[in-house]
Amino acid sequence: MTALGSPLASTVLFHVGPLAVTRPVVTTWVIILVLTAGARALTHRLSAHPGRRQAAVEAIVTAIMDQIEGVIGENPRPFLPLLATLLIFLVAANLSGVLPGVQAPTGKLETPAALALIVFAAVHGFGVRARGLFGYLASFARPKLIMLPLNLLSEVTRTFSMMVRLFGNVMSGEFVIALVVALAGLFVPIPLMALEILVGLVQAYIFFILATVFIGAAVDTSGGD
Amino acid sequence: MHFDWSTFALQTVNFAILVWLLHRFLYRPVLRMIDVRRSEIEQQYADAQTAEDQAKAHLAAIEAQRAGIGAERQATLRQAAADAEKAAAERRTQGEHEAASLLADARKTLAAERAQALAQARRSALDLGTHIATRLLAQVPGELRAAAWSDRVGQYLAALPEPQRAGLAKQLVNGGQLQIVTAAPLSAAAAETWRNMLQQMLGGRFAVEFAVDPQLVAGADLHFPDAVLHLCWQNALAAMRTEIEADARAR
Repeated sequence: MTALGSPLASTVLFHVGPLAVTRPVVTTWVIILVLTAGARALTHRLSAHPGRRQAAVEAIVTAIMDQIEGVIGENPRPFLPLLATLLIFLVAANLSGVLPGVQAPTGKLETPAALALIVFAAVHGFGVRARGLFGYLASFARPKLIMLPLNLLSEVTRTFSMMVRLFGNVMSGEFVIALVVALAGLFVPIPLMALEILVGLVQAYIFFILATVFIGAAVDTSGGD
Repeated sequence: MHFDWSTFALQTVNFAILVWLLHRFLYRPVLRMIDVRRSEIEQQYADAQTAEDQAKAHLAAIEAQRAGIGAERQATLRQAAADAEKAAAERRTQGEHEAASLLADARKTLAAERAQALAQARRSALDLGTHIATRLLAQVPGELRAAAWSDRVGQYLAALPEPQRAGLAKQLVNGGQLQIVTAAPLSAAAAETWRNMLQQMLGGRFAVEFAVDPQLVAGADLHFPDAVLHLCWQNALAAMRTEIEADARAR
């Protein structure tokens, strides 16, 4: 970060028609490109007898599946693409801010908002698929009908809080590092950067686990809400 | 507060695309490989389970076979013991029978030999008695023996029924001859005494001839033309021997 500006503002790099392409978008494209290329490189020669690299990839995927199954209590495969991608992308995006000259996409409000929107849509999509439309809508009136407004409001607020938590932690970390670099020098913020790595990993996990919990609550047909 | 809706929209699309890409290039291949390996492991587990079941069945069959061998061995031993005991009992019974038979045969043989020895002893006793009597009689003077036997012959003829005595006399008429056989030669006087006694007992006069046969031991045989009166000891001893042997056989 070469200059101190509004932490909420994103630099527009170019326009594609009416859409302004900002730095977080380009950074996300790079992340997508790297993740896809890495995934392709790791999985294009899979074997029944895995090597060390394949074993590591399978261990990561299996660990994520076990985490999802532990929270939701069902077959994790339908939820794996969304939730695992959420975790992997958030780890990559949060840690990208550590690289010199790179701003973490999650440090801008639009990216956590987009992710929160997708999680919000996925929660209700999985809920309707698991319970049926009316069954799922009826779940908002439990345990009493009077709870309906509060439940609806909580659906929005918890998603909003999830978005703001991610955005605030990443943005504040980057902002503090930028301030320290501007005031103290080049190597002084290194401990803060290490802390930022930890915060990025923790926030990625929190976002992932909250999304998993929300989806688990939506698809829970045992009577819980 | 600034919020860029273009960035929001693009990031939403970007994340959706990333979900699809990772699903396409990461999760699906990895899950497919995990499924393949899991099915392979399950297949191996099933094969191992099948092999284990087969091994257990084989083991059970071997144990059953081993138990059968043991039972068969026990049965064979019991059968062999029973056969041996039966054979021993049969052999013992046969031995007892054979011993009884041998004992019976021995007893029969012993009884026969004893009977034979007893008969032989009797014959020897008779022969000895005859020999003793002959030797003792040989010491008696011939006149005395002739006189004694002439008296006895006379008493015998006198004791005969009249028709029988008349039948004997009838054989001597018309030239019939009476031969008198004695064990020792008679003197002339004794011969005359015999002749007179016989002619007196049988009536009439007839020819009397004298002969000697030491086998008679004592006494005399009277040879009529058609009959013989055995009044000698040889005949008496033979009758005694016959009676004694008949008595022994009867016992």
